[in-house]
This record gives sequence, C-alpha cells and structure tokens, in this order.
Amino acid sequence: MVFLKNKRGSILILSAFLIMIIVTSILGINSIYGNLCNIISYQNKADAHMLSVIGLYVETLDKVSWINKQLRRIGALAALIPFVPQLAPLVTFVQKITGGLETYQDLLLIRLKTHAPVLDNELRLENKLSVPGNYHYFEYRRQPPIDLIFMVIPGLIEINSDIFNTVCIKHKGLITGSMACVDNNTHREEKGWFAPTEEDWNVVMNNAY
Amino acid sequence: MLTEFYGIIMTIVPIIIIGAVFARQIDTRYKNELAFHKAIKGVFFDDKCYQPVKCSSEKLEIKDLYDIRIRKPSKSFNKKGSEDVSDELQDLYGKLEKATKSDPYK
Repeated sequence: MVFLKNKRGSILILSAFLIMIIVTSILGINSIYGNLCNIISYQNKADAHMLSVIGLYVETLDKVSWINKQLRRIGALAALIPFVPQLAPLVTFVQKITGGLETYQDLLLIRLKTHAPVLDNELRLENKLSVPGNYHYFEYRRQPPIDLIFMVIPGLIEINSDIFNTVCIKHKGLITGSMACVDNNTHREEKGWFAPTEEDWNVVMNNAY
Repeated sequence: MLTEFYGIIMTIVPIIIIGAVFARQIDTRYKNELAFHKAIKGVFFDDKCYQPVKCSSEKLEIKDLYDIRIRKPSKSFNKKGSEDVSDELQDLYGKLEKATKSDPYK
C-alpha cells in the first residue's frame, strides 16, 4: 500500500511538474509575443504621429519653396518689361500676382506656426502617446523687396539652416527613442540662411526597427 | 494509474487548446501590427494603402484591432517634381485668385 501510495504520489508530482512546464512555456511565449505586439503598436502610433506633424512642415515648406520659385521667375520676367513696351499693361497684373503670392506665403507660415503645436498635441492625446512633446520650430525671414521703379517684387522667404535640427519630432520609445526630421537634398549642407526654390523637402526617420 | 492518466489528459488538453487559441490570436495581432507598420510607411511615403488596413486622410484602421489618427499631407513624401503637379497648381491658383481679390489684413 505504501509503495502504491508513493508511486501514485510521485506520478502526480511529476504530472504537476510537467503541466507547470507546459503552462509556463505557453504563457511565456504568448507574453513575449504580446509584449512585442505592444511595442510595435506603440511604434506604429509614434511613427504615424511623427509623419503627420512633419508632413505639415513638409507640405508648407514645399509650397513656400514653390512660391519662392515663382517670385524669382516673375522678377526675372519683370526686368524685361522696360525693354518690351508691349508688356507694359501687364505691370498691374504682375503686381497683383506677386502681392497674392506674398500674402499666401505669409498665411501658410502663420498657419504652420499656429497649427503645428496644436496638431502635435492633438494627435499625441488621441493616439495615447506621451504628452507633452518636444519643441519644433524654424526661423525664417523675408529678403528685402526688389524695387524696379515701375513695380516692386517681394523678397523671397529665407530659412535658417538650423531647421534640420529644430524641426524634429521625437518619441521616447519602449526600447529606444525614435525621431523624424525634415530633410532637403539641395540644402542639407547649407550654413546660415538659404532661400529654397525647389520642392524637394523630405523626411528622415530614425527609429528602433 | 488509469485515473491519474485521465486526470493528466483532462488537465493538459484544455490548457494546450486554450494556449493554441490564444497563440493564434496573438499571431494574428502580430501580423496586423506589421501590416499597420507597412501601411503607415506606404500612406506617407508612397501614397499607397496595404490590406487589411483601411486608410483615409484622417485615420488608419484595422477592424477589430485599433485605429490611429493621422493627418495625411496633400502630397506623399516620395512624390516630388514641381512641374507635373497640375492639381496642386490649380489649387494654388484658386487660392491665389481669392487672395488677390480680398485683403486679409483689412
């Protein structure tokens, strides 16, 4: 009886041990996968947030650069007007266009200045990401206008080269942080102020995986 | 002996089945998360959306998982080239026309 009891007891202990191993391994593997999913989920939300906010900057900078290009073209064409008298009636029209472009450029930059921080916090809150975020901004100024006597061409918008460091959206990730910054192929190595005229603004990302 | 054997089987089998179901759910979620990751890059860089993610200009969504609020820019990052953006130009000319007609500082 004692032998049987011991044998039965040892089988039960062995079985319990095996069940414990199976349960632990199933739970362990599932929890590893579950945590991995949580990390990817957080990273996805962070990526979507960073790209959304940087997208607003890229969109604005593309348009500002496009307007700079048009103002430069108009300036070059307007310089021809004194030599081609037939173009004289166009002066008022060109003046209106340049004025409109200048106003639109100013409005775009004001919209960016006010909307970017709001969008940043709004998306952080709605996607349940860390709040508050980091500062992101860039310095810009307008070149002096070109006076052609018969008309005035507005100056181009110049941007400080610090933009590549200051317009960055950052996240403290679960493993390592991630960051997205604006980038520009033409002006990446620029020092000081530059007036962009090409719509080649892009995004450079650096994240955990 | 047979009683113990039945006991062990009756304990292990449900555990394995529940574990397998749970593992399958996690596996599906893992695949969906990776799909989300691909879709986010697709939407912003190439203007593409990948299944099973539903993409709009304000939201990326997978049914039964979760949704992510976004703001999709008017032009994807990899779609560049200033001379062939006729829609963009038309849009800008429309806004320009409005801007020339009214003075916002008044």
